[in-house]
Amino acid sequence: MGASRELWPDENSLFDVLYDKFMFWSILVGVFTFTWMFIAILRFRDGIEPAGKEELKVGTFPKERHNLKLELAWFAGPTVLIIWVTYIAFGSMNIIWGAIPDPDETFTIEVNGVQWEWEYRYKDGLTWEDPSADFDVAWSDSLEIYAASGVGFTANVIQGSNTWSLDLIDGIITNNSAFDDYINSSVTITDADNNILHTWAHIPEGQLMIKHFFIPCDEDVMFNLHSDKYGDKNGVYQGVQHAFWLQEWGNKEDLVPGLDGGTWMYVQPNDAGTFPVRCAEYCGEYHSVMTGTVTVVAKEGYSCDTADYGVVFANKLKEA
Amino acid sequence: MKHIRSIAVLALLMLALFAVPQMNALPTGVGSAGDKGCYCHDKSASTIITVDGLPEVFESGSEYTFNVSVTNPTLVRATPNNGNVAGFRILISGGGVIAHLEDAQGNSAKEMSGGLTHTEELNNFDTWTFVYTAPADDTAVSTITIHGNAVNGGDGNANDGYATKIIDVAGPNASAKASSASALVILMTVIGLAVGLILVGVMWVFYTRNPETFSIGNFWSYIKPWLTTHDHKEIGLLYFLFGLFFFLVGGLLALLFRIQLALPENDFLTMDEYNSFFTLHGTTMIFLAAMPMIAGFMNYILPLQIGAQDLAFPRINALGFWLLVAAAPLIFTGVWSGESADITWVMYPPYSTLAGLGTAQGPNSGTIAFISGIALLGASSTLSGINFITTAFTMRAPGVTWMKMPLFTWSVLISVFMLYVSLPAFVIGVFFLLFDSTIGTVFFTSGGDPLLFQHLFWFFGHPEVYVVVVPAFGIVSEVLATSARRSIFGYKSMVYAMVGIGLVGFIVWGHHMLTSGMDPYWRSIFMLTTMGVAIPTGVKIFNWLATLWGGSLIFKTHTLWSLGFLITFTLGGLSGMFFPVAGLDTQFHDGYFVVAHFHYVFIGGTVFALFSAIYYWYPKAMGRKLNENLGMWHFLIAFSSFNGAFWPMHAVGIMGMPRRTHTYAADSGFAELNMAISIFAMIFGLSQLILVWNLIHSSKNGEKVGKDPWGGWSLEWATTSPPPTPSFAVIPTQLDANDESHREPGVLDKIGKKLWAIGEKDNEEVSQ
Repeated sequence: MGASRELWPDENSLFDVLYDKFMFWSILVGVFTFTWMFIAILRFRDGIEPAGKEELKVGTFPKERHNLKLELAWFAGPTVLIIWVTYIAFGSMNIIWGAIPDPDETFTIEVNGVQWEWEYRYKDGLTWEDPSADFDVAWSDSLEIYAASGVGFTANVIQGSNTWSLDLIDGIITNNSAFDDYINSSVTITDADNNILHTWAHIPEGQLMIKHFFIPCDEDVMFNLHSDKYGDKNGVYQGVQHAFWLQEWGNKEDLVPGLDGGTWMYVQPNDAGTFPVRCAEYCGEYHSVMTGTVTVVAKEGYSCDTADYGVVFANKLKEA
Repeated sequence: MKHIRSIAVLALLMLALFAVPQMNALPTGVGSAGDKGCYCHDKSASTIITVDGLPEVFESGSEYTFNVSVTNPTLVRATPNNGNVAGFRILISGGGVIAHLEDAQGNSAKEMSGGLTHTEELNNFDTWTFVYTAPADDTAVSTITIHGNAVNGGDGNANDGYATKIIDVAGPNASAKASSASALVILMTVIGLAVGLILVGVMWVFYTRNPETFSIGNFWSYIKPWLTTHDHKEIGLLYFLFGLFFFLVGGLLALLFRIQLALPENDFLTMDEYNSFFTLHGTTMIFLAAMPMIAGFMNYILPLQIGAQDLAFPRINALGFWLLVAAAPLIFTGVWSGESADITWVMYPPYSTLAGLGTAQGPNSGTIAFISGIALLGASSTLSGINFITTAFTMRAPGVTWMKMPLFTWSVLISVFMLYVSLPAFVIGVFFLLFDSTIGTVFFTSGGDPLLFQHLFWFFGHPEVYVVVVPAFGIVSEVLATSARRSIFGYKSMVYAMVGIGLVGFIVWGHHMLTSGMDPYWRSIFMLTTMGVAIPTGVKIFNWLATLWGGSLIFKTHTLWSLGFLITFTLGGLSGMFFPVAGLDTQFHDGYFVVAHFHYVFIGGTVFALFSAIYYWYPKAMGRKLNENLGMWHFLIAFSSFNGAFWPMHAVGIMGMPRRTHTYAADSGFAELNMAISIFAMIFGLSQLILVWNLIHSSKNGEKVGKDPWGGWSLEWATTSPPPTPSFAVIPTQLDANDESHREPGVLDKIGKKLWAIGEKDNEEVSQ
């Protein structure tokens, strides 16, 4: 099972923290029960214990066996454990569904699920860059690209529908095009063999992406989920149910057709990387291929490795 | 005459159910919903599809430009009209590629779900140009299917006319190839053949008993009593055999889709086939296998245990069974037409009311028949409920007071009570689904509330799972106590625990909806109550263990299955405790961890207890024991392969594999575990054949038994094996080993006495 743990939700996610706790109690109860059972089976089997204990007679309700103290004990014991476990569960409920952050203060994306594709509309713009000492891209009144050393690098620049490429040699290359906050832009630096060495990108507010999308690390990322929000509403078909499942943070929520405000969920990305997006509510023929990816990136000037973000469960529990 | 009238009414009802409602037009093109034609519109014999430019025999790799025109000279253009003239959907199979040639205005066709279709611009024309590129293989035959729809340009789909043209373009070396049948048709043929073979088998058995006197007339007089019986024992056998048959059918469905899932990106089943198979698997296993098999034991054993001659309403009992038999073909019928229900066993709208073919464009006939079958099942179960509750209240023999009933009887009573109370919500939900699908109501769709259905469904759905597992508790109590040769430990707390589960089971349904968009306030309440249901269940498990303690356990096959139940049901119950936790449920919901959990409690709970009951009560019903050697092999192979198949599903669920998924990506990491699961599932499925063989073989060759082969105490062991009809010639009196002479009658005893007094007068009439 060791290798498969890489596919599990992130170790900083609420899931991971809770799983370990519940696994602990389950193993305890399981071991207790099965030990008792195996001792009972082995010790009290026919031949070991003499059969003279038979007390069953056909047509006669047998003598009742009971022990009030024991029965109360195994009523009270589990009750105490259940109360404790419920207390833990409530803390988690508060974090996931109770204390939902304000969408105005978080990075928000509107997710629209259609049969059978995921559409993402950015409610906040995102400028991100690979953290690296070898390259740096700065784009304001003009575009400046800094390459630490070496020849043979090319910067492929896309701004909206314009593309151009610049050859990079040691030092800074400046290009006079101005940055436009409203235009989808990217700078990709490749080497002679077309391997991508560095990426800088700007996703403007309002940008539509399909299937694959990007979110920043180390902040709360909110999703507003709609089913077929922009569809041809002829009064009959208003979309079907889907569920937006982000495996890396162990969180999902249904998309409810006909619900104008949509549903909400949020995640707290910690590590950079690309993670799966899957549909988790049966929505028709192509349900199993309604997949995508989410790539967690560092905002320009930051790195995802510097901070530990996510639910550090004990702290949240105290706040909740 | 009466029969002909009822058949006519039934036929009319079924015809009405198959009517497809009108839907609105799609100028933007149609996806796989149009693979079988543009049938949301009217069909028209006057719509002509003209194809000009395709060769009869292609040259490998060549390109051919051809035109397609869709015209209907009889069509009257609407005034005012919206400019739409005609639409198309073109599919190609068998090799070769078709592309659309951009027209003079620069409009191109679009590709949707593997076919070419019109866009809003192209919808304004009736002729389009395409390029067909012949395949390289010159033995191939390209089959080009063109669905063309000429519209009148008005609102709605009426008065349009569609037609279909299929053209085969063969390679120079192609030979005629027969098309292969769809997997669904093959499956249904297999089932039909199986039923036919069973009938022939029964006839053959009847023949071998008396070859001299065999005739069809004699055979009919042999079969007719079975078709018209209202004896609880025979109805019990019918229920059980029906359930066993569908257990194998449901299992076969599962094995087929486990083959599909064994490899990543597999195409053993198409998506539609896969989706219908898991829908049928779930519905079959719960409603056509588990519940009938339990009903079989309930029918056979309960009257024996309470000392009654039959149930309170024997003919209604028979009606309940035959309604079930009528529901089964309705549920499976969609498969024959190739339009089977692919809506999952929970049938969530809007997909289930708009569903069936990919995009949401109207329910297909198979889905409507499926939902109608489910409604019929609700009727069958309601009638059973009335019967068992009445019987338990009024027909207990002297000495069988409330707190002296066997635990199996208690479990049946509680289970049937839960079923009876929860069914109305379900049946209402199902009827609303039917109305939404057929007469255009909007309970759940088009502005209605999809979550309303989920509430109605799960208000039934959760008690339903306790309905199937509480009788399992009863069986295990009986078997473990008898096997340990001691009375059950804590009889009263066992009863209270089952009542507790029965009550709490009604207030936990929201845990199936924790990520559904339901108000978080309610999510918290359901989390609380769901945690609570673990407590009475734990009490029962500990009572069972205490029963074994100090006993003298014999290891017959029925004992082994009940011990196996203790292990797997405990594991299933523990995994169940992960779900009420918000942070865990958001990961687990609709993933394979859920599949693992419910198979552990369904198979590891209900089915293992049923196996235990089979080995325990078979001698009572047949007068012979099942073979212990075969039983041992059945247990060892099935128990280990079950765990091998379902334990890894926990892991694969945490790794992120969703439920109801036709396939998974090669780089998802799920492949190894899925292959292992599929292999163990095959072994588990095949091991059931050992049981089937044992059942058949032991009916003639099993060791004969007397009244009480296992040493049980309850009243069914006081009659002969098999019991006579009526089951008791003289109503027995149950004795009591507890010295109660000094005890004042309690509240329960007083109520019981009053109820018994009511029953006493009616009892004479029942036996007529």
